[in-house]
Amino acid sequence: MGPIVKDGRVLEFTCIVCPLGCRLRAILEDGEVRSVEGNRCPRGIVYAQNEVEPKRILISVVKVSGGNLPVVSVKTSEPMPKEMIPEAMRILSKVTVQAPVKIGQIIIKDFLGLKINVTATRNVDPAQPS
Amino acid sequence: MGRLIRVAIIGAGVVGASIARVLSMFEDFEVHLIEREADVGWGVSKANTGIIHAGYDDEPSLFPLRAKLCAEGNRIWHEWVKDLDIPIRWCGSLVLAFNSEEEKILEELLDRGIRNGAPSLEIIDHEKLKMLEPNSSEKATSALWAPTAGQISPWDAVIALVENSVTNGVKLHLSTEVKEVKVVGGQISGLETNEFFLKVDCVINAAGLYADKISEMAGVGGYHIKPRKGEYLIFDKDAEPKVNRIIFPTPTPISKGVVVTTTTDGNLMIGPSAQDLPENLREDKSNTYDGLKIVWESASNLVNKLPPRNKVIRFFAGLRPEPSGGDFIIRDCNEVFGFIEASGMRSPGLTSAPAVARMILDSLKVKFDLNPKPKAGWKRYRRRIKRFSEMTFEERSKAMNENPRYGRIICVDELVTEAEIVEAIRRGATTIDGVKFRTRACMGACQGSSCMYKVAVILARELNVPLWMVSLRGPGTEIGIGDVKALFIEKNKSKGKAKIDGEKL
Amino acid sequence: MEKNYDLAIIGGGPAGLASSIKAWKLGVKSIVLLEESNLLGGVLPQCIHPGFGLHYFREDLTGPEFAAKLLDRLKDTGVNVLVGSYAEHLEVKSSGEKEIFGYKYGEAFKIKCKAVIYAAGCRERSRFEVNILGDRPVGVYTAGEAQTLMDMYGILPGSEIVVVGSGDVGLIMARRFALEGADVKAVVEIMPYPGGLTRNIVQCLEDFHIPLYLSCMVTEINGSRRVEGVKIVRVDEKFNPIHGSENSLKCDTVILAVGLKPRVELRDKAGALIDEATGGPIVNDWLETTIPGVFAAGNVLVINDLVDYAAEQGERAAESAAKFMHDGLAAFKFKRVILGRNVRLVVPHLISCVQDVTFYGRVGKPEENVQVRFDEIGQAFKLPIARPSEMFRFKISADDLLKLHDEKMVVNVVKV
Repeated sequence: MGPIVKDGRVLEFTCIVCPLGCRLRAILEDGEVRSVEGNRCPRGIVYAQNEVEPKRILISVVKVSGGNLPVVSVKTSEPMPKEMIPEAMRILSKVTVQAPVKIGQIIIKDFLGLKINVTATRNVDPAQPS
Repeated sequence: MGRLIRVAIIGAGVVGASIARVLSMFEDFEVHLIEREADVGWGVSKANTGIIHAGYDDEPSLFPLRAKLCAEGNRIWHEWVKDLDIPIRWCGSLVLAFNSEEEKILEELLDRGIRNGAPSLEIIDHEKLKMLEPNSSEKATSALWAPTAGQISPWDAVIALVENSVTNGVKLHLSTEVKEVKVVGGQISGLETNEFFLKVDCVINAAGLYADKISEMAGVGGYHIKPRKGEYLIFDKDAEPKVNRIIFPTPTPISKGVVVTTTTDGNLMIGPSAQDLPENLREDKSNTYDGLKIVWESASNLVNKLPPRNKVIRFFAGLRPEPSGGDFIIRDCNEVFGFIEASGMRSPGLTSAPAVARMILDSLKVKFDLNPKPKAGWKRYRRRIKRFSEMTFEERSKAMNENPRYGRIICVDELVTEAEIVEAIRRGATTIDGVKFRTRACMGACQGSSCMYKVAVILARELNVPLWMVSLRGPGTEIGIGDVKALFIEKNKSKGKAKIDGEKL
Repeated sequence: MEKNYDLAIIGGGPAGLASSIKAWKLGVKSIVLLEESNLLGGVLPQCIHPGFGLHYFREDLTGPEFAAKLLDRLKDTGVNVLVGSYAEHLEVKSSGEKEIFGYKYGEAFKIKCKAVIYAAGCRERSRFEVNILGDRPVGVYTAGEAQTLMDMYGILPGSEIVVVGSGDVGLIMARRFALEGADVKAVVEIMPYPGGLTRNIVQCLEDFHIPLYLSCMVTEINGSRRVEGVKIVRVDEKFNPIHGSENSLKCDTVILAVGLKPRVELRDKAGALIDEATGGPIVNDWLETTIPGVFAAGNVLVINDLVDYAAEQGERAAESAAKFMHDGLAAFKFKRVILGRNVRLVVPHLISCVQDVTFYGRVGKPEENVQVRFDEIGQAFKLPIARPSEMFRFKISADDLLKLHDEKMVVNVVKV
């Protein structure tokens, strides 16, 4: 299960920095990490600080019209807040881009007002008769 | 010639297809072949051992039709496979005996075979057995050698029969399920189906597992079909050792037992088990732990060595239609004029099918007082799709020159090309399984994980349907549920709807 | 078509692309790259998630981006690329010359060459190979097949998903389906521990509240036309089903991530010896198979965890092929690498001890705080955690290998 807020002040999660997978308990104060328990190395503390507001790179595909493939793979240029992913996916489901699509091409600018872009991660050439 | 007799054959399995071919030879019949599945041969015919038996199994005093039609069917298949270019290995079969009691049964089989007219049967000793089949069990003391038995590709047989029948004027109706058999004044008047009403003079019931239901619809009935499940294991082509001959154990009263054989495509195959299912489970083709265990253990007893278990690339199960009376039900039903049974076709049904077809023709002659006139221009021969994998290097080059798509390999395991797949679709395949059974694409070790989607892409292009609508086996088996955003379309809709409802409130 | 080249590379995935580029850089100027599909990159274009390239490009890339970077480099070479070209078999003449026979749209081809790098990748195991019984309805796909359908061809296989296997591929596909709005009912793992990286357990399962059933096995698929559900059973330490623990789970799609197998068909015909542990060819430290001048790299050699390793092996094979053609590889007396305690596989299988060697291997069972020991040469490497699903990779220098006086070197994984 994802980070579980306990008493509004404790976060529990698995550290993913290395394969050891330490089970961390982060004690919060005013939304900041005051202390971390369960980590076997200092990297666990940094990880815990980032996981207070977890962010993820979102990857998906969006539809392409007139392409040799019907979809193009996309990603967010930066990690985005995890809790906004469902809304992000709903928006991506309504997008159709016109072929050709170039790798790195911006599909959506300033996605969800987050100052990040959704970019294409592969080329889609115009359709050719087979 | 008298009037044209409209005939509906229910069931495009090997029996229905054989009857269609025989009737297509004459001017007197307008033949409709009706099949509930999206393709031919997908019932009992698809999932069986594919053996053309020699004819020693069935005791004529108990099962006169089985006894008579098996040996006769075997003789006809020898011609038909040549006419229709059906893959077959006339490799002969061996029934192994492991003790004196079983040897006694071999004597009975030999005697019975001679009475049934099965040629060249011989009881052989251990030494000759090892010569004929080096991989047979060391413990086998003797064997019944039946050189006229053969291993056929059963679905190729049905496809061939139907293609040839259609060429000769038979009308094929796929995805058509019979809902009602109309009888007026004690006489067949037509068939109601999910698609259309068909006015016919004669109905031939070759409905396999559902034949008793069809018979009841006509008001005839009087028998039950019990499904008997048989499970099989198939090994990879490169799995060794294979067997040269079809190897049987000594039969029991219920079953011929688990067989070890090599298919016409070169895969070692073992099976079937024999499990009687309740009458309502006529679609249960599931594989079970116990079923496969029995198959493995029984097969192990027949041979020196089976290939390792990890060389198994597929298991499957089929259902055989066991008639309550034991024997085939082939008769002209006097109760309803024009209703003819060709049912209860359990083993040796595949072997007997051509002989059944001739018997049905004879009963039609009597029934309708005919002296049928051979059809002018009836085409005897049919050729199967040329397989790239079976061509020489020179033939391949030539094929690619004529059709460049022969150069596109779609299924790597079986070396199946795009040209063959397109040809299969041209000949009537509308599904992935339809292509698979016509070309062997997806039949190799990967079982389609590397090539199924490529076959689907070609089907979508040739049939001009969206890719997700391409199906494995017809309606209800589409490979997808929509485009990759399909679930959002629903969610977006329901979200919008909720809003409207909210506004109403 | 009949053509002569110095080097033929079979397979246009990461290993094949990396070796093409490397061989060109090393001065091999007559190279042909044969790719069976119409698209270069192998499995990369459909692996749209990030996590690729951290070693090889020192960047976190998605699969298609990793492929694009290699293709950019390939563009600057004079490598002859033939897509849609299937290499069916390889013959080795007594002179040592190799002939590759194959097919492309409209023609057969025959390629004569001095050296071959075989980089044909792997295939996925089917349900039949892991003995999942029951019915055979539509809706059962391998993970890679589902990836192809969704992310290349844009179709959704189903809406209620059960994933079999918790390796990274299974976890990533669980997330992929969840992202597109499907209900991922469970990931089912027969081992008592997850197969994939912790990062993926967290980001693919926990993020989406997908349950992971450990020590559980899917025994049956049910459904006459479309998948209607699966039967799941708990297993004991010996992986035997525990009676009374059977459960049904409703779903319309089963995704199989139950392992990969090197695609060795072509090499089999040429007669290269195969290692049962890897499923790939036996190679020496030049990544040369038992056929002189035929090299192997990528997942056909050994199933790799990281595409970076496949690319690295591709480069290594290219170096070897270049050397083979330039000076020849002398007939060394190779020493054998032996699998010791808790070692399931190691590549390469044979070592000359005259050059640095990168060893790739896997343990048989999970252990914490272990050392991978090469006792004959006094080398040991610490592993805080060793799991069968995580490949270990160690480079040992020629100087250290020279210390090997025995005919063999045993690799042991030992608790410290």
